[in-house]
Amino acid sequence: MSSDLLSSITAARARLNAVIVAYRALAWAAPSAVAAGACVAGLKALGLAAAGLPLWGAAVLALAAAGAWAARGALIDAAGAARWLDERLSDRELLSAALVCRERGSSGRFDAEILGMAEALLPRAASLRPSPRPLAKRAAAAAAACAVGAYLVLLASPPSASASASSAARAGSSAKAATSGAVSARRDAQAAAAFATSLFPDDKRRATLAERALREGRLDDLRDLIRSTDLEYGSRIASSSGEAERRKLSGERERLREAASALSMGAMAQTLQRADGGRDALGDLGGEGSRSPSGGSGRAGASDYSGEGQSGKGSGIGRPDQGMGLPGEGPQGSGPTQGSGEASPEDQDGASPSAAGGPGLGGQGYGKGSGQEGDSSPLSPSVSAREAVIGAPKNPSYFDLVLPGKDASSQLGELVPDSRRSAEAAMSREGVPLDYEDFVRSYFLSLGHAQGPGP
Amino acid sequence: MNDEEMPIAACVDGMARAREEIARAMVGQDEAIDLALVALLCEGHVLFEGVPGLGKTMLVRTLADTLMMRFSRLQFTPDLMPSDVVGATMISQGEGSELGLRFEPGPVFANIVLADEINRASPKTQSALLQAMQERAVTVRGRTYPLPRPFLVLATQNPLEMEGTYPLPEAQVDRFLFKIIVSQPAQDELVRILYRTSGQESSPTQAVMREADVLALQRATRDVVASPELMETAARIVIGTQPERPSSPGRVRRLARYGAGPRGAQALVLASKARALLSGRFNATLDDMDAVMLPALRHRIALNFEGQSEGIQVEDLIKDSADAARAALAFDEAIAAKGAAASEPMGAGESS
Repeated sequence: MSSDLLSSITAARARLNAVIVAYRALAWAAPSAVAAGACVAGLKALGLAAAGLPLWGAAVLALAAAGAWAARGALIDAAGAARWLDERLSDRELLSAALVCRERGSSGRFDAEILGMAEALLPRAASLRPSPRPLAKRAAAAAAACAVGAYLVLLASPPSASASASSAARAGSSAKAATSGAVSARRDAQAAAAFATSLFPDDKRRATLAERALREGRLDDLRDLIRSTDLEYGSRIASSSGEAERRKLSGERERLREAASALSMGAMAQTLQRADGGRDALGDLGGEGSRSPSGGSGRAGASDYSGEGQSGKGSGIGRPDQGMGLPGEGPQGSGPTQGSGEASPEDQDGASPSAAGGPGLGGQGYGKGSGQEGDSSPLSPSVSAREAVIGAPKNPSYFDLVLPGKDASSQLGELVPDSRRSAEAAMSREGVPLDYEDFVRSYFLSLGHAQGPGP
Repeated sequence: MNDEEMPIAACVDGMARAREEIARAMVGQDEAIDLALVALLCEGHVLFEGVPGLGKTMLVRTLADTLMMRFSRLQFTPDLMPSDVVGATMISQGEGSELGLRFEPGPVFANIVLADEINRASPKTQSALLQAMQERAVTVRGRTYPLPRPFLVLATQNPLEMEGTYPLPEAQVDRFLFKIIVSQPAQDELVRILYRTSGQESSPTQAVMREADVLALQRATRDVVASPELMETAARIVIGTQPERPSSPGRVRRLARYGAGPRGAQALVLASKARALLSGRFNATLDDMDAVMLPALRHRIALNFEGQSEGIQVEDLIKDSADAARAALAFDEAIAAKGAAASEPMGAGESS
């Protein structure tokens, strides 16, 4: 009986671990297929690799195998498999308990009963399988990526005799440029349409624009299109309420980024991710969304954007209302600018943990830029949250307090002494913690200064 | 009768009948009744908190009646002395004319002791009772007298009228297995109470169990199986209530003064086992732990000044910690993170 239990759990464990390994392998295969395709295509275009396709295939297989190897740290044990079965069977954790009973040799008082009840569940447990849907989705993505990678390899032409001289002269240029050139040179209408549709399967307008840009070799426009779509996904993810919808949008966005990689725009994809971090940080300041670990700390709010930090040759992805230009946030990008906006008190409040953050997004731009060390001066301490609370009102003498629900009003100056006496009484009978007594005193002192002599 | 002669299933049935008897006498307070029975099986003590008139004393007395146990009641007042609780040595005349010293046991020598308004007695008297609760014995003039088993102290304290009271020190509150908040009855319960209390007196409760049955159940409780996941979750929840831990949730780190300790984790696991046994199961589940989590931990955590001034409830911090523990132990993170396990199962088993 207990061997049946163990074999059922072991079988479930094997199935789950197979899913984990396959999933990881496919997750690694998708980007590596595109990246290897770009690299091999570049080598082929430079005449350094004659047999492009076998080389590409070997690279993809090796990277997928590395993904499978990396999955070994995530494999689950028998207890994990029992938990998975318990969840699926809603059996009040009976299989987990039975596993404990079996491991201790059924020496417990109730072990026989538990093992007996678990045995009755085994036929149902044996029929449970992990869902293939996530795996199928990942496989489809990997297949698409492989198609793109193979396409790049096949498109790449070996250098002609006349062009070899210029190829040699361009030896220092990147593989990305070579691949992009190859893609735009062919202008294969059919392939462009297929690729554009794969980029925007649900958006005909963008698909048409992308196809046109591909055919005409306007890769910059295509990049801009992908960036704007990515930004739109970001805002939709931030504003979506349901977990399922958010997951779906994230999946589509991930697929878009993978497709972006197909254009050998790895750098652009990283850029998009950085931009995503910037938006998360903004969400924090606005009180929405969650703080991204990469979202810069100490960023000023949207209104602080000066617009100057964006001058990355027109290809920066940020918009002025996204607040990417910052005063003094470390290395800055394209040249002349550092965000020179002035942080408002609210913004400082929201971004207070540290004024000197990571790389300034606004200043990075996405064009050329030599990078310039920012002026990491801290935010001005002259306006702090505490002062905003206890600071003196502008016209303290006529500062009335209307009592709720009554047709009367009384001077603040009449109320404060009573409150102050109450606080002193509380302090005298140790009703206020010692650490807070100074704070309470200073608070009432500040109120006294604020009121002045009274009307 | 030893516990070999009394099948556990029969004891569990007896407990269910006792539960029905108590419910027949009391209207509402279902959770308090269940938790009192759980505490009885754990041999742990209970601190009831609620305003007067909610049936706390009645609950304890009915519990003692249905379980056929010795019951005593102590009304704590500022002038109550330790000897009034544990007993005293008195001069008495023996068989001859010689005078001798004789120990006269106090009210603590009972199976179920109701310590009413425990926070009104002086710390010295509170300590005497709490020492008896912990050691299940009292020592007078160098001699140790064991208390009868099972031994259960059900203490009450009134959250109002705190003037002139001596709040229980944290170290002593920690000795209670549960702190149960007795709430006001709902409207329909109040109507039923009125019907029941304004007519003829109902028949007295019947005794359905004996001390030996309860002792057998107490032993059986410790044999209930707890999975490693349950143990680990209990440990994570308790550690997550400690503000000095970097892994604790943010609100706990910011608003808690101190958190639960090992006794809290022991209480969680043991009470989960007892609840499972009372439900007729021999393995404790995470649902059992969820049901006992708040009463087992709420008195072991204290808010700092900031937490108090923000009006935060200790229960909120416990829930934060439990959520974090559940998230950390989320089943097979590797798949769940990628959505594989989060989807529906496939196969014949899902339809059944």
